[in-house]
Amino acid sequence: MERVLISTKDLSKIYHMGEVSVEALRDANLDIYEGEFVVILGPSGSGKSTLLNIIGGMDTPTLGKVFFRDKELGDLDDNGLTRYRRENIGFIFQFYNLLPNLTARENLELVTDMSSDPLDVMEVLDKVGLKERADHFPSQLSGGEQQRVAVARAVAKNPEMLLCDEPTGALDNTTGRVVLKVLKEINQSLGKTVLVITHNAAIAEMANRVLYLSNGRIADIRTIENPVDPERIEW
Amino acid sequence: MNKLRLMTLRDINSNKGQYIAVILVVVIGITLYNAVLMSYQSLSNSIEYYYEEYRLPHLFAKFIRSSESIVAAAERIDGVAAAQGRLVLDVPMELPGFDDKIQARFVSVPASNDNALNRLYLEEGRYVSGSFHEAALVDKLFMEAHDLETGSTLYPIINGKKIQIVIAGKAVSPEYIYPVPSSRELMPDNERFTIIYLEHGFMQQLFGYEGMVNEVVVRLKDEALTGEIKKELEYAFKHYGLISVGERDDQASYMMMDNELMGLEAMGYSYPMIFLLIGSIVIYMLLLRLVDNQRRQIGVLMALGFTKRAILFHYQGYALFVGFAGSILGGLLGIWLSGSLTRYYLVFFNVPVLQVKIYASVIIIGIVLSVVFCGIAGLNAAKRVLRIAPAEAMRPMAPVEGKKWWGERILPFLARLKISWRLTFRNMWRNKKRTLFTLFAIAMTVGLMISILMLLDSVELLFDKAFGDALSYDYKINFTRDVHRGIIEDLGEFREISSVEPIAEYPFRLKNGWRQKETLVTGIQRGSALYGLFDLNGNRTDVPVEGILLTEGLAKSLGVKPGDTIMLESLYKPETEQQVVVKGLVEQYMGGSGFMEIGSLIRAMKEGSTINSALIKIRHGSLGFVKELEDMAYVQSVKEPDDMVKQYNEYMDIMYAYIGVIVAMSCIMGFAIIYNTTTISIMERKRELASLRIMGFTNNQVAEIIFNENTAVSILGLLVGMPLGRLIGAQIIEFYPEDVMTLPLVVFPKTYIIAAATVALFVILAQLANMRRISRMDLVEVMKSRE
Repeated sequence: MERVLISTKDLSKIYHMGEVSVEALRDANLDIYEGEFVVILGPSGSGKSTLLNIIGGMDTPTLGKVFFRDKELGDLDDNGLTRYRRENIGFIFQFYNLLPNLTARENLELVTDMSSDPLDVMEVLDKVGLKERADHFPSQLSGGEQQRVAVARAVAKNPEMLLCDEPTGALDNTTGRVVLKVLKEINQSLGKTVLVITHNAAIAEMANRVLYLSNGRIADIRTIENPVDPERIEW
Repeated sequence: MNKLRLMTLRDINSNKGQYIAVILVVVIGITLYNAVLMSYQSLSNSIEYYYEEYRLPHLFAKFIRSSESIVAAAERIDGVAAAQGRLVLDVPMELPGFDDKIQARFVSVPASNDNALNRLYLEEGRYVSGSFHEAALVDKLFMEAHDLETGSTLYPIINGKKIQIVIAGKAVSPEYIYPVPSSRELMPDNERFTIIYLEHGFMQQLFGYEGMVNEVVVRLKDEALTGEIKKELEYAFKHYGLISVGERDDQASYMMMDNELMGLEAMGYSYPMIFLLIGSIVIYMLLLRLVDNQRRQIGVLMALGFTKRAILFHYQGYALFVGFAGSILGGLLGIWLSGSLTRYYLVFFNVPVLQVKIYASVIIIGIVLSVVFCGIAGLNAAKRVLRIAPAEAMRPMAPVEGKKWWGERILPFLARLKISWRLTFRNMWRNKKRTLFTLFAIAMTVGLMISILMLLDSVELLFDKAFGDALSYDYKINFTRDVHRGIIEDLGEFREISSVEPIAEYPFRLKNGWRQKETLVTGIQRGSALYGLFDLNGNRTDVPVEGILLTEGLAKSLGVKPGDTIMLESLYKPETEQQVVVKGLVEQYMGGSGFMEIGSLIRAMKEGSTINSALIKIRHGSLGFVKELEDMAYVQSVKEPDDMVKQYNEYMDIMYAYIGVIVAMSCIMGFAIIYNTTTISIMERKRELASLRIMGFTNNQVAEIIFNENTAVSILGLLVGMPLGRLIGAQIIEFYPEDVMTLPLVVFPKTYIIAAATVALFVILAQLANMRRISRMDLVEVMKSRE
């Protein structure tokens, strides 16, 4: 857990909305290590999504720099960022965003078809416990199952890091826990770095480190010595 | 302003591209409608007025030659308003500086123009004087073609003598709006054919017809009496050398103008309807998307207390906006275009009283049509508002149900395609309605293009057949009158002529019971090497020893088939009726005619061994000889088969203009359709596409998915559009009067290729135009919203 995967230097993001400027992120300095499970906690509007989007190469900072290992994201053009996302980042969203017209397996294949070093699709589906449902379409799956397919899809291309934006936000706590368990499992057995943003403080207990964001600033960073098993999280 | 109206305008403003594209389709339809129908109205009203004011006769009785007293006899028939005797005689004419021989039709006119039938319209100069000085009024188009002026001299050869006649002025007659010598000639040749008007008495003297006429033209009190009085005239003049009594419909210029107008009117209705239909389909698709996208907003409006009707009307407003905007723009463009279109007709037609007017009724009907078409489309799309319950509308739409489509079950290879292609087909299946509409719209575009381009193919084939395979002679000599067949042997004596064959062409009336048709029957030597006939399978065939061959069109209009017997009656000698057996059907695309062995044709004429034309092939390097031939006695004209092609091509200019306009408009329409469906499918699947981008798909990879869909729909559209185009084209060709010209039904592969290439081009253009929507998609923004 020593090698730094992501490093941000004095990151700021200012949104101009007409005549109003909103400072979504202010001087954020942060290192994320390989294999770490990090939770970023904060109320809505605290800047956590902005931070996640910048790290994921979907958005660019107004000031400051982001490094992925020794590569500075600011040096990449649109194509470079696309390649960065394709090779290194797996996104998981609150609302799954599966392609409704493709089966679970096909949703994974869609991604593995274009990655250089993908994992075996059926093995990944097995890992999220959905091997039996591989040929179901999203509309035939429950919300929790859909989110597990989304996780599997993010993992299947074998990225360095999973970025999860409120992954349990649309789920009840039972199904939510299953998804969290899957994330933890992927973090531990495959060694993937996982970054979860949430406003749900209970989830923070399963992380190695928790970042508290408030008004665009990193207010606090806490290291958890003994992360809680996701099974035991209640909210 | 009403806030809902304001919303409509702002929505339209923020999706300008799409609305402009639909409005464009409507504009095209309405422009075409206005331009063509206004030209039709202008032309048809002007011509109608011209016929009446300048007293076009209703009946034309032709005689070999007859005493002038028959005019009074004709006038005495009940129902006849006026009768006028005249001479109509064709002679060769020379013009200094012009090498070809000219066919001059001399027509005698009364000493006073005022009460004349076929009253002349004097474009310049003075009315005929009745003497050599200021003797002749000459057809306007001929004078313009040769840069002749009042005072110029003409050199017609009358009774073998070259005579000088001074032009008194430039004139046109309602009888020669379309100046062709007979309905056999498709195209006016204003360099080689003209009409010259002389004072009646003067012409009688000049031609040696003192006290004689060879035509009596009759104007009736009531046009409805035409058939009845025609019969009376036929009966009354039976023994006075009557050849035939023709109606207006038999008169070349009248018939051609009628066809032209009919074609114009049909076009004025058919093509715009296609454009409007497609425009309304695009509006329908656009509004469906809009209503789906604005569900939440609709819910809010309902919650605020707007009635469903008000909301329905709000969405209907988008369609009405397109309908009004399109029809008003189209109306203005149409007025402008109709002016130039109508004026274009003046190049070919002698219509001196042409009134180009703006017909408010046409414009209003155009607006109504457009608003009705768009309105119905809008109503159909907007009515889905009625199914929305307010609370439900506030919630997001139920997720799309993904499933494999039956194609993958039936054709397993579809399930093994690349994922992006599987996705393509499932999306098409998912949006069945839109896929179908787009397919239909592309098919119509392709169909429209092919239907119009194939006219060119038909004409090309027609020429190939008529002048390539069929006619292998170099020149056709037309004699001034019937000559003895022995002339062929004399011609054969010339060193320069390598082969020569006689041809006899006479007008006959072919009868099968009550059905009859007047046509030219051509007599050909058996085993002719210079005039080829082809049976319906395209194999070479020969004239039978006895009996007649008919073209398919002629056989059809007579209702006969091979083996049937028909009556053959010479128009020169009405009393000589005889039976002939139809021996077979032949292809012959120019004019509908019959073909017989020359000997049996001459026997049918009951007149010595006479012919009136000869076909020759000349030896290499004998071009100068053609001039010599032209100067020979009895030779009226020496024509190359190519002359007709040249003439035709000139006339084709107007057709090319139409074809160009319609093809260009189809292209704009095709582009508008694909552009809109592309835009709609991008907007509809913004979220899907954004998540692909986030997963690491490049812009091009995302575009490919959309592109695949366009490609697939376009290919299907092409497949449907190709036979559809052929079908529409067949209708257009069917519409062409077969006695003028039988266009073969053919589509060359190049036409299909052009259509396919054009579709490919606008798919690519639409794709490029939409690329920005994909590359500028704000991923963060798209992912933030739930919908």
